[in-house]
Amino acid sequence: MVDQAVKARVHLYGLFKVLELLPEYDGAAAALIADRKVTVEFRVGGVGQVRLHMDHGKVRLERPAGGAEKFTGGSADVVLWFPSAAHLNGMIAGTKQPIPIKGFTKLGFLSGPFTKFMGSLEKWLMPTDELLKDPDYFAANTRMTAYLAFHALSEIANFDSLAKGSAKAIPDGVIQLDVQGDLGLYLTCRGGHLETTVGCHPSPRCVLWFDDLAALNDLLSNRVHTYDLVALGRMGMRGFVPMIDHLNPILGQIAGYLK
Amino acid sequence: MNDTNTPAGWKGNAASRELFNRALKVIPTGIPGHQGPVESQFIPISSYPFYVDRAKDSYFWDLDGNRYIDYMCAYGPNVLGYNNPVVDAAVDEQRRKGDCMALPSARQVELAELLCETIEIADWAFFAKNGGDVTSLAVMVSRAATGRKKIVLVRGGYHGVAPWTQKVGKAGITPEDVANNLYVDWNNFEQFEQLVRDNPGQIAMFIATPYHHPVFVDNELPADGYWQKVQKLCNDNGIVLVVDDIRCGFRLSLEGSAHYFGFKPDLACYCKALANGQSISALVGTNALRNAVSDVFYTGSYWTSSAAMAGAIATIRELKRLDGANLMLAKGKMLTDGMVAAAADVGLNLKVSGVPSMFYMRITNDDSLAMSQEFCAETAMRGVFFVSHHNHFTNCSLTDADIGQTIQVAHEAFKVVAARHL
Repeated sequence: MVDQAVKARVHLYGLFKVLELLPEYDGAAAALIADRKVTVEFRVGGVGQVRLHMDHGKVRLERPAGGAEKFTGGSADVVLWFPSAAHLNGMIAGTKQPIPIKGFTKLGFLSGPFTKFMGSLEKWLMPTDELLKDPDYFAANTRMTAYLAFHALSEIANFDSLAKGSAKAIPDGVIQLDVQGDLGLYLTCRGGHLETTVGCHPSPRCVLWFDDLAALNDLLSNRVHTYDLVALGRMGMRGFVPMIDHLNPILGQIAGYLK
Repeated sequence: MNDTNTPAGWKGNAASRELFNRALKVIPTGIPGHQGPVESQFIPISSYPFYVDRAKDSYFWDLDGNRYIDYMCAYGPNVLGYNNPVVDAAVDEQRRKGDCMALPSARQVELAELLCETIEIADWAFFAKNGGDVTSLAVMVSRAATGRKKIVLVRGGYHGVAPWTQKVGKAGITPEDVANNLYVDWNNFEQFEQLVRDNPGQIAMFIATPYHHPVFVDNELPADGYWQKVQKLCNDNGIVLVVDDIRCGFRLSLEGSAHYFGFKPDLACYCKALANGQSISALVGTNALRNAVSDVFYTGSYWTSSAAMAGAIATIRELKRLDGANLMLAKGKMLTDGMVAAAADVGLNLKVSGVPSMFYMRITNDDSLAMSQEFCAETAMRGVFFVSHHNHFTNCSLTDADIGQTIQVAHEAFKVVAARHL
């Protein structure tokens, strides 16, 4: 069962995180924000806040420090308010509009280039067989989907009532996702709480490795079962594998939240 | 991921991989369950066989012609040696007369009598095929006897794969499947006491293995007095005490692992070592539960198959003749002492836990098991079959020469791992 508040967290901290990669792969999207330096803050009632810092074509997502729900410092040029999780989820689905409460002079940017910029994500996260034939698109889609899945994973693990039970059983340590140096993401697990970080950890307790992006894409798209990929040598695990055993049920919930 | 360097003599696993590729087309995951390459923790998979061609005594040969000294023993059933001639002769003789028939044969009665004579607490025996059949039967018998629903299990314990034994979050398991399960930590009698206080008159059963042998972590023997206190609490509160002796059975004591640890359960489950690999399991119990088990409707097409029963009779008689449990304990001690020394010789610390006939081991120089995984890969390529996540097993056919060769291989493998990491 999909919890709307968790779904909003997946959007806020997962989907929006992928925007950091968008300018790197999508020249047209990058051009929309190329001549701007603007920070847009999203405030979602009962869920949390993020700031998207756009600076001449580069994007950085900022979360409140220490896992807090709200920012206590810094500022944004534009603040968009969503009274509830359902409202944010509705915006993602295209059925609702955000409520601007600051930055009215930037409404033109918001409703124009910024909306188009965010809308560009759809093409990269909803592949067609035709698009996947292009190796550059394939690589971009895989990386962005991995970003989304791994950031969504932490939110689901920490806030979904069913996933929290599995997360509690994950032994402490770091699980590193490693695609042969092509992509690095890691999960820090402490006392049943998960945190996703981009990069490579110096001493992971468990490594989930993939031979190449194609293997990762096969897993993320459910084209090939995990066990088949491992047995074929296209992906594998080493280190304290029980961490992944308890992570697996949570991984299984991601698809439901990303529909 | 780079493969380990392959030692001379290793023939690779191409034939295994080729067969596996065929398997993937017609069997989900290729090899489902605990013997599949994922559940077996074959890390990296390039270092391991996937299939056996043939087996004899303590050895198996894979499809590429590599021979292994086998310390998994089919995950327990091989207790006398693969294709033991005494057991095979008994099975063949019975098979010529008849195996799965319209009615049971006299073997069923003979085996039940033998189990009652052998296992301390057994006043009766009920036969099935797999261990999970009899752990689930134990649940039903306990509920039938007490009229209660709840059961107490030890966290990390394994009792098969029926939904009640698994966890919510696993595919196909619903909260309702485990709604009547209560959990305690191993060796924590106070937690069990608290559960009994919090659930007065509601607990049907306490089930546990005789000692704690979960995967991936050190095994733990019962604390002094633990089982005696648990038994008394169960007896005083009308809770059926069940020992799942499926993995340990006959490797600690032929009278039952409960006898080894000095307590008396009401029910005990057996499988693995019961018939040296023939498919059979048994639930044994006290007279107090005879009526309850008689009331339970529980049956299966192959449960009266006579060949496996003949095999079990032959196996138990052989184990008695050889003093099998003590023999396997002694072999395990010799092996593990040698391996600990071999590890220390190259600066590695090998921790061995559990009982010597079914030891668990890991290299403690890291906390991730990665060194243990590398060690097992190196020994596999040198003809010794270990796994990094599960306890191992000795069997009665293991020779001193086998043990010597194993220690030598282990030393080489430890050297490789130490050179990589120290």
